[in-house]
Amino acid sequence: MVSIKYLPILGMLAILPLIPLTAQEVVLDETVSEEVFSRRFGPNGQHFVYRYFSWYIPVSRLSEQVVKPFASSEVDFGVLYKYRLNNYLSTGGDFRAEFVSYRMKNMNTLQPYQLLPEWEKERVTQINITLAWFGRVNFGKRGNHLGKYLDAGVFGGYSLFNSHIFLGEDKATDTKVNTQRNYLPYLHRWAWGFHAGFGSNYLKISARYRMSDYLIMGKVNGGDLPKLMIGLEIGIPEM
Amino acid sequence: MKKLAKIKRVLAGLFTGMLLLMMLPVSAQHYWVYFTDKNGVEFNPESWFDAATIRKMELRGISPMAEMNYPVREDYVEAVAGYADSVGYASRWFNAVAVTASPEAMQKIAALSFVAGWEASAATEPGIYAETESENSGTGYTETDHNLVDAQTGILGLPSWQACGMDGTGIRIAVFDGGFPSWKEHPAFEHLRQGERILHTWDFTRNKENVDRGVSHGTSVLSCIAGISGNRPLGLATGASFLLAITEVRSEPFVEEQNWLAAAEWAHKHGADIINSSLGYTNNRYFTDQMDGKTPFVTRAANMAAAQGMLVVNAAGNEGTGDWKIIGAPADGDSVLSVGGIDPSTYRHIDFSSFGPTFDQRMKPNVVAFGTAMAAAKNGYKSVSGTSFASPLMAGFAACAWQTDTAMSNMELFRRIEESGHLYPYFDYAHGYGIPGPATFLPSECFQPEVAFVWSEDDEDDYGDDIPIHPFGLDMDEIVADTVAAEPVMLSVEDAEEMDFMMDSLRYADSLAAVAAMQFDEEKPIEIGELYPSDQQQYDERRAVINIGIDDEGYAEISVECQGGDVRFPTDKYLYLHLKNSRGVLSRYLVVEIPEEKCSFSISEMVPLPLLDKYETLCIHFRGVTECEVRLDDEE
Repeated sequence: MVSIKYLPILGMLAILPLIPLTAQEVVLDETVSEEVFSRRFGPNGQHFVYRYFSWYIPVSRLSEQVVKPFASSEVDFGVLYKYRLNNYLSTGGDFRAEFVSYRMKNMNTLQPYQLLPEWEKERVTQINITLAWFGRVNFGKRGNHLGKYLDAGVFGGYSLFNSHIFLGEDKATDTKVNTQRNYLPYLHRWAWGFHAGFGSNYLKISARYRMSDYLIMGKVNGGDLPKLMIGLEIGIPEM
Repeated sequence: MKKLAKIKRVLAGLFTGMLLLMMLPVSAQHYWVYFTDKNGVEFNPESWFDAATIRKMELRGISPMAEMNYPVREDYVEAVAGYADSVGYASRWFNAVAVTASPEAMQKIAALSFVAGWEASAATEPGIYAETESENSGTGYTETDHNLVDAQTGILGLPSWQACGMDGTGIRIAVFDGGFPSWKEHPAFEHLRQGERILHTWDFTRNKENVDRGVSHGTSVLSCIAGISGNRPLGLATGASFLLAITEVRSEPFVEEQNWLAAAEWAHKHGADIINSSLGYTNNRYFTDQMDGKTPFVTRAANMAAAQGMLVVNAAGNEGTGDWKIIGAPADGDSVLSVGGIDPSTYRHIDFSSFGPTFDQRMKPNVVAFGTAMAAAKNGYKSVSGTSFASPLMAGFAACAWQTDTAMSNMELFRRIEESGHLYPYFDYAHGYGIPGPATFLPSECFQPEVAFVWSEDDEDDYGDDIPIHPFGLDMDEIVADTVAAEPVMLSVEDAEEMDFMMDSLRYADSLAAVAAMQFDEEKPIEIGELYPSDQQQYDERRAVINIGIDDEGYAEISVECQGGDVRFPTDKYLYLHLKNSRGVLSRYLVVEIPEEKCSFSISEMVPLPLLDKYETLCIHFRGVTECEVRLDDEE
């Protein structure tokens, strides 16, 4: 039984569907703005910002490989700002988060971890934040789009998180063993290097060379992780 | 030390690379080189133009001996070729030649005594305007497809054009696109093939005659001018003749600029009256502030084509929802009839259609047509969307209009097409002057407005077994005797009940579905149709009263009252409003949908209007009536 105090509200709700909806509707409302003709913002405007993601793989000489090149990779998500100097030259910077994973080629080459006599897989991972500066040269006269260009510049970054992961099987007990060491004392947190790339609009082939070492020599076995990365950057057109 | 050496090596490598990179922009580029004169060049128009073309030019007061038609001096071209990497098209209209050369070579070319000037050009991406395409319908149509076919031509007055025998016969239309695959086999063009009305074809990207290749966009565009599916025309100009040109190529984008101009000069040579170009160039090449009707090279080429007497019909573009937003090139040309798109389900601006104005604040688009249409695909038919397809629908309309008076000049036709728009003299930057119609081109005896006949449930009580069928939306007293039957047609209740569903659909219909003839009596068939927005020009009565008051502070009070019956046209439910300055440039424009039953209202209740500045004008358009009021100074 419904309380009488709710009857007025229920009555109104019951009537609502019967009230015809006859309101006028503004279906087009355009204000003519001079902003549409402005060159302040845009791919070839004074300022331009866009997001991107990229994928890199390490490259090193066969004789010096310490990681498996195609099982190792770096995935980045970043934001890029470009400032136009003229139709041919621009400069800018980008800020990105890097998710790096190196699959070691030979086990225990970095630092032995003797929980098991033998490991199946060994991986070093990092989450870095990086700032980069670039100078850009564009080719040819173009309209309001990024066009074809060559970039070069420097970057610097910091490793927020890193880990060393070992995967193996304890044959004695027939169990899988997975160990992870975080905040590695044998890995440099700060990094810097150079980068260069060739792009066409939102697609860029890019290379990075890290000048600083990854690993603190003397605290690890074997050589450093690969310094040269080559990859593809894909911009997202709307910001 | 080793690290420092490595840094130095890397920096040296980068620096060298950057130096090399900076040299790249100064390698070979593309230019147009303009010459000073055509002295000593001989030209025989009878060997250049065909006889029909010369007759047409003389009829329209255009001299075939104009210097623009003379060829470029070969010795000038050879001299330039001696310095350039390569030489492309030599344009008669611009007295210029396209070259590829290094900046150093260009300095030498520029110093030649017969070079009047030069300009750099640039690569551009192909600009074919097509928004979306549906799955191929094959050869089978749905009822919705049929309705769209009938509406895309009906809205532009096909029944009236046909009644007067106007189908573009005698008009030559050049179509520029990226390919026309299957035009030689597709049933939609059987009538063109049988009548041998594909007069000339040329693939400017390969310098060959065959255009039966490339993207099917051109096939679809051609069908929207002159295709026939079964017995249903897809476009209005099924009787016209055609020149087909492939001008778009993805691998060499710079060449497209040359190709458009070369195709226009080729079309002129072969007597084209109309050019349809469902193409456009935007941010890959230009900035929005260059859409001024004179900066883009292709716009200057289009204006030149118009100066030669051709009507250039171009798609407005599909940038309405993007950052670019406005029309592209060559739609910005002041002599180019730019065609925007409307939605077939609402009869107003379709969201992707580019807006105006141009950078120099001229109204664009000029007119609108359906932005979604049924068209021929490479195989079969499909629904296509884009102003690419509004443009050819309008090109077909223009052909029919020009057929009524071939002595008209292209710009007179341009002006009359605008004046036939259902909003004229009202305009905005989404619809231009609206949907053109045939009324101002056809003599009255040819014009056949069709009205819908409906049955009122109330009549059953009054008339018993016999129900009068009377015109929909018209008071009986206002029926014009020579257009529709003054007396209602009597119909038995039994027959009426069988048609009850159809009648209800007609009573509340606001779309342009084609309906079949219904035969109450085999000897007296009754055709049932609907009225199109452009048909309203046939009716002299004012169907609305609009009162505008602007107080001294700039507040506007607007009241509207309907007259003359119920909603008759699909656009009757829209109230259009704009604000413009003393130079006629709009600052704001709106479209408001008014419920059918609400026919007396005050606009200030529903739309918060900004204060008008002094000398700013407020215009309202509703049901064919336009009223404007300007805010004047207190002392005036």
